[in-house]
Amino acid sequence: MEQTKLKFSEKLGYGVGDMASNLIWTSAATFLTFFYTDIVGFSAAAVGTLLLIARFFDAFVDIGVGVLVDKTRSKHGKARPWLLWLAIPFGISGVLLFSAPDLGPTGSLIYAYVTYLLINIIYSGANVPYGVLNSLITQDPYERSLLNIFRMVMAIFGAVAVSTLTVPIVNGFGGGKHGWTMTFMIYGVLAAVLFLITFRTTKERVKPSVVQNVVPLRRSLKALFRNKYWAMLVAFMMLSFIMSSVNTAVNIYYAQYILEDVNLMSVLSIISFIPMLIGLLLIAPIIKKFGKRNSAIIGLVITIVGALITMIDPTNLTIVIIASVTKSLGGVPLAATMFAMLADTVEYGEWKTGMRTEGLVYSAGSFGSKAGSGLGAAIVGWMLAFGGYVGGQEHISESARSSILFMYIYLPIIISALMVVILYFYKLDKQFPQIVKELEEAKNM
Amino acid sequence: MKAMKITMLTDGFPVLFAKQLSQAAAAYTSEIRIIWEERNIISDVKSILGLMALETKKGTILTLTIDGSDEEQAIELGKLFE
Repeated sequence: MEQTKLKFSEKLGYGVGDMASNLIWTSAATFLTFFYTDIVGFSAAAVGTLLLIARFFDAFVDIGVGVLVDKTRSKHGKARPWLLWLAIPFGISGVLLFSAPDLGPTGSLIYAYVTYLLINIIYSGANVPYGVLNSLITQDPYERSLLNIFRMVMAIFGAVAVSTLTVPIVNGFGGGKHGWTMTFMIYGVLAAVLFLITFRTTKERVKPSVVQNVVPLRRSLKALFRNKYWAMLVAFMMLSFIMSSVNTAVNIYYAQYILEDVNLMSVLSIISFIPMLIGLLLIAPIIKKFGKRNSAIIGLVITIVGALITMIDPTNLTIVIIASVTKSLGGVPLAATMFAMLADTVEYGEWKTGMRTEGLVYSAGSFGSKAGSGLGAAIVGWMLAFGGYVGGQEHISESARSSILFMYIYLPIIISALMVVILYFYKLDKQFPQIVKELEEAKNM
Repeated sequence: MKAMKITMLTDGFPVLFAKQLSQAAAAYTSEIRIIWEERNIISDVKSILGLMALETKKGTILTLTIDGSDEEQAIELGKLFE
């Protein structure tokens, strides 16, 4: 097995690619609704419809990109050329998204649809190959985790930067449409440069062992569903994203109605960010010692403990903070290993079926994570409705309160337990060295 | 046309065995196929992907068929299943 230790510069170079994504993507997720309703002047309903349509559209675009990546054979490799091609279009599409030319009410709405769908396509076109790149840079399972840790840390820096700096920068440019467009010119240039850095500093080293030519989609899809570890990870990622999106969405209700101070919501968010960042910087030796799967199990157990701590007194702020920090630390191994585990299922699939389809494995995997986020948000709505929640009132019914407590405390426990069950059957960490060895032998036969 | 029954020694065709078998088969000009009667599947033995797609169990009985000018020699492939 190729045991090349990657240079710091390559790992950092890989990591900054996710900062590029976050500069545009997180800022779009955070500010686009506001930009449309308050700067451009669309109705909230029109914006909601736009976002929903884009979400559906997006899932299919991802899979399409994955298939195209698998067909790509350029001198730059399979995934890297996409970063080269799309770095600058990605930056430009960000600027277009946050520009609002005067086209009249219908024209503006059409402009919004075109630019938002365009950025969705370009984002998928860059982000799917970016994820795939992890599996192509190295076959060493530990180095893959390190790449993923760099990615996560850079993503968090990017996300924190845009959430805190965007509004001051916009105001610095005098606010209004002009302010937003100028701000996104800066983000666009930075994002393009960062993606190009990823392109320049990384190298694709992993080559298929069994068949070199492109496999028809019908066969590669069939092969994908024979890859049991891939299927486990899709379910695993879906659960994980349900948990985190429920958690994000329920914070504000928890602050308002259980802690009875809505301002505590930002406290709850910050105390989940900081332990995550610190944890990611320290997690590598634990993964090295215990492996990805076992580290993830440890993390899930810590998450369950965190949720149990809340039960001591769900209304006591100190206890809730201690519990949140604990839960957030429990989330660290998941953030560090999930995509790296997905990368390992590429080799399992090749070993089992002869077909190496990184693009499909990744894009169909990220489909699971997107479905999970969507479901998570929906679950919050359903559970609140089930509890008879009525918004905008001083006090809520006892059953609505129970719903919020259930989502904040019990749901993470249930989901974490299910995830542990999946990992119990996940034995790829152990088999992986043998799989890579056999693939290497097959290549040389 | 030659045919012989073969019995799988492993679950499915592991990558190394599939590679060995497909390479050995490629050395002959004859058409070489594996027929899995129970499932109604015919696979080209010269194609490694075709072999790896067969989700047989250990002990599954298959038919190896060889059709062509060098079929007498190619029947030697059956020895790989012993």
